[in-house]
Amino acid sequence: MRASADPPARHGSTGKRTRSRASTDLALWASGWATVACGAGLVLSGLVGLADWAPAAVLVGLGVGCSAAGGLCVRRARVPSHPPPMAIFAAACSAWFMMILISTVAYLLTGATGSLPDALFESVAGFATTNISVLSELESVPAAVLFWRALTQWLGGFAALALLAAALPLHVSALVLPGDSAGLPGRASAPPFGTQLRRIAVVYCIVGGLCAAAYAIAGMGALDAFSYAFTTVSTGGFGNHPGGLGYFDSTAIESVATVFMALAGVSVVTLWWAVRGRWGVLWRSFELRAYLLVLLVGTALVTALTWSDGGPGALRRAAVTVTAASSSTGFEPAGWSGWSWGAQALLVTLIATGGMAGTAGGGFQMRRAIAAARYAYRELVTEIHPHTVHVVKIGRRSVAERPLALLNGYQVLFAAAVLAGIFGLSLSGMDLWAAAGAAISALSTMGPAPGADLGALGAGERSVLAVLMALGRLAFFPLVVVAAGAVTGTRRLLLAERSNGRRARS
Amino acid sequence: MRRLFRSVPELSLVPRPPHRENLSLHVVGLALLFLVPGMLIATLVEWGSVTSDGERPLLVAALITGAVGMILFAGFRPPDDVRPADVFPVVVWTWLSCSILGALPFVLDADVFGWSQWDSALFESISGFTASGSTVLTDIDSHGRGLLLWRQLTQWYGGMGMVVLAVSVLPLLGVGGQELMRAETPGPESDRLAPRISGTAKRLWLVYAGLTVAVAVALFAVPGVSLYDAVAHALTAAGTGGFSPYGGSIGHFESLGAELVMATGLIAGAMSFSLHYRALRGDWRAYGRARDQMLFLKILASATMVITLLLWLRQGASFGLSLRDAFFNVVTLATSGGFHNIRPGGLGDFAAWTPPAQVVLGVLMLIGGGAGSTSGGMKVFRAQISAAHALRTVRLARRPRSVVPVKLGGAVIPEPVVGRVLGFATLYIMSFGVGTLIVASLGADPVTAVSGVISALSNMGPALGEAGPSSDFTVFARPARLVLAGLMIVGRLEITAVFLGAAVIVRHLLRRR
Repeated sequence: MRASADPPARHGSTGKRTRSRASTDLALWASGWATVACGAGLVLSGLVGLADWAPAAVLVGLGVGCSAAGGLCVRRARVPSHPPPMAIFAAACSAWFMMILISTVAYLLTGATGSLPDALFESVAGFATTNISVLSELESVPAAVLFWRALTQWLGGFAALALLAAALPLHVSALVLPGDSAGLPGRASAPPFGTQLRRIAVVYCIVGGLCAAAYAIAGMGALDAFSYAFTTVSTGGFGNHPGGLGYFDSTAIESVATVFMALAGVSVVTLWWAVRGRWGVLWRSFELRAYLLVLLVGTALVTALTWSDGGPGALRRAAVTVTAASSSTGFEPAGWSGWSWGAQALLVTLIATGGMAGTAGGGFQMRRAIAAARYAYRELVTEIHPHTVHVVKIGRRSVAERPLALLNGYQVLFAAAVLAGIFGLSLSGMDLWAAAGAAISALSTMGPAPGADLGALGAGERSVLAVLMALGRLAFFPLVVVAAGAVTGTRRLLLAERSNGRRARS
Repeated sequence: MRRLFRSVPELSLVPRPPHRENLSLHVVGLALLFLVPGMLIATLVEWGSVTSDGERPLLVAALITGAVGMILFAGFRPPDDVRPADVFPVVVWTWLSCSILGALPFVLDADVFGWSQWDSALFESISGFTASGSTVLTDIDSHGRGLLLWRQLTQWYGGMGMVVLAVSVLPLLGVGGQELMRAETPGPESDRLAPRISGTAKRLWLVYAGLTVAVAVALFAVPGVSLYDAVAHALTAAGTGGFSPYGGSIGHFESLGAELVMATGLIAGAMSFSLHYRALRGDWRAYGRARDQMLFLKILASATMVITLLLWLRQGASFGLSLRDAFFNVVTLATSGGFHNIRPGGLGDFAAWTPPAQVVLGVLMLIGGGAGSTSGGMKVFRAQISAAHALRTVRLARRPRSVVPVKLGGAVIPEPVVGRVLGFATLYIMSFGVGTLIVASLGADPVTAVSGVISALSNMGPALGEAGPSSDFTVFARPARLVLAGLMIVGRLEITAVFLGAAVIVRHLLRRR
């Protein structure tokens, strides 16, 4: 009571209250929209798999319930115009976990997965757009659930892109400025969040639709075409059949997959300008050229290294595998664990590097890799010429110091996560190469890795992989910042309580 | 000393070349001259040994090295002013030429490698001078004592560095001398122990020699260790090298005492030599003030604990045995020593340990020892600064407009230093990636390739997988060995010096065209 009478204290406390209000409102709003999207997806899945009515009815019912609840949340929440970073991160995390929760419930209610941990892991993998599945008998799973499973990856990919757009003003996703990436002159500031989200949705849906059509023309059924299109464009990799793309044994389908996986690894912003007919932007993007070069060189090298294993078929196989690895789409080629060591090491490197920034894919990403290399070069030059002012550039555009600092931090966090992941996985019994591959692949939201058998995972391995996938999908900062915020918040609370207790005693 | 070398050209029979300015060749010549006494000592030992008679190759190598060194040292004089860009080629040339001429005894003796295996000889020599300790010499015990002593001596020279040795007797370099030392010695800045840089270099070498003698005396006191063994192992312990005249390394002695002495010597070698100097002068608290050195000791302790538990609980070994082998191998890997203690009834073969223990060892190899020491790896202070920077970015992400300094133990680290450390980390990861890809493409399995490259970059010695302590680097294809040898030099000179040296050399060549 006395504290509130004290003017400075009251100011401080009201400020904090507003901030925390903004935070909860934004989280409510984001989770609400996530719930609505999931509800719509569930209803759609139910309608698609209507032939098997029992699971379909469950999904439709759950979907309607989710949509209603989510709609209420969205209506109740008042979105602040300039939310603080913490609020954005908290909203991103809560929305992501809300989607996972809903999906877990859906799997459990339909009985597609045996137990709660199974359902949870399948949902995490789905929304992390990673292809690690606990479903062993895909043929016996109802069509509605398979469609929902593909949709989780589609939604997960979109959520990742939305997070990129939301985190832009913070420079957090280091160097993923859409205006910058597009190479448009004189467009320094990014458009508002709503506009960006609309554009992302347009590009994402157009590419997805084209992909589904191409799959259908190449010979897939309607359900498969849409499911595979969802998981291709979101760089997910779940399939409705065992054996990845090899199940179809069709060059046409593999070619379609290669093209669209490559497209999924291209920044949405670049694609948006291509959709708008500004082809010059494509050519000017340094990152795009680097990405295509990596794809070409990688394919050539893998072909050369695996030529003795498969002869002329090696090129086709190498193209699919390298594109899948580079864009972190987890379609697993058959028998890659038997390839030569050089090819396996190269593939794991490609998985770690990832595609362009501003995609639903994971990995370190091309733009960050280029900037990190330029940064290291700058530091070398300053060793000889200590007084030079040397600006780091990507293509023709310079990168500010703040994003560079964040990039370096990201780099350290990435390496630390890989090492911790390898330790955790080896602790639960994997051999070293399998653990390294699986840790890097999960962190890059790819999933499978050469040499790693992810068929039968123990609880320990699953929890390590789930944490890595979550870190990789949310690009570290949201999760880490929210966790750090929770820790400091708890500590502050404890400290305050202790001091209150002391004051009461005195 | 200086007067002696100055007066030599007048006496020499070699026609005197034009007195041209060239810092690189001048320093290279001096460094080569320093190798000659080592070769001569090895010749004497070989001569006195009854089991073998391989003194002629050693003597011939000494003569050739001496002649080349004399010509270069006397034929070129250092320029009057040394720019920062000039020092990097000096370091690169010095290391290359010492490695090449240091390989002569191996090449000239047909029983060791002979001319047909020149690449193996070069690998062995580079592994020696970079104080790595990876070997391609098979059946080590069968070779002559003198030749094996030369192999130990290469690591002793390389441990503190030939350039530091050269700087200690080159008074003319002035500012350039400091730049030279900074390019070669590991660490953020070289500490000034004396007003003149040559004084600092001399003191560092004195401490280094003192440590060698101390380890030799302590080892000799252990029952079952001969004088030759004590000296030979002391030479490689102070430089955190890892060569041993026995195939069984320290396991040959089957003695806890020898292991403890070596571990202590390695830990001393992996901590800053300027701190040792200060401590010898009475300032013992200097250790406590150096946060990174203390952290290094904490890392050693915690890694030993973790690995002891893993060996004890997972591999079912007794607690005492687990502790003994965990401690020795953690020390030898974290200090980038690379000895091993494989013995009957022991757990010395760490490549066969449970995988999580191997992951811990891999991380230790990466981090390496303290700044200003003879150990390899990234160095603890770099790991510390990188981690502090990562924590800072989390705060920056939360409050985008805040200004957060990187602090270590209360002291603010200047931004240029942070930048240099992060640039180094990037270059380290890139060298590691490229090296691993090449070595794996040449046929090594990924675990062997990854650990071999880390081992080479950190100047460690043995790796994991097939190239573990019970095996050697002959498991790598011959081209892969050359790549690894290159990475050893890159790692020893802390990447920056090699990249810049190469860049400057290329630029000079292009300009001359």
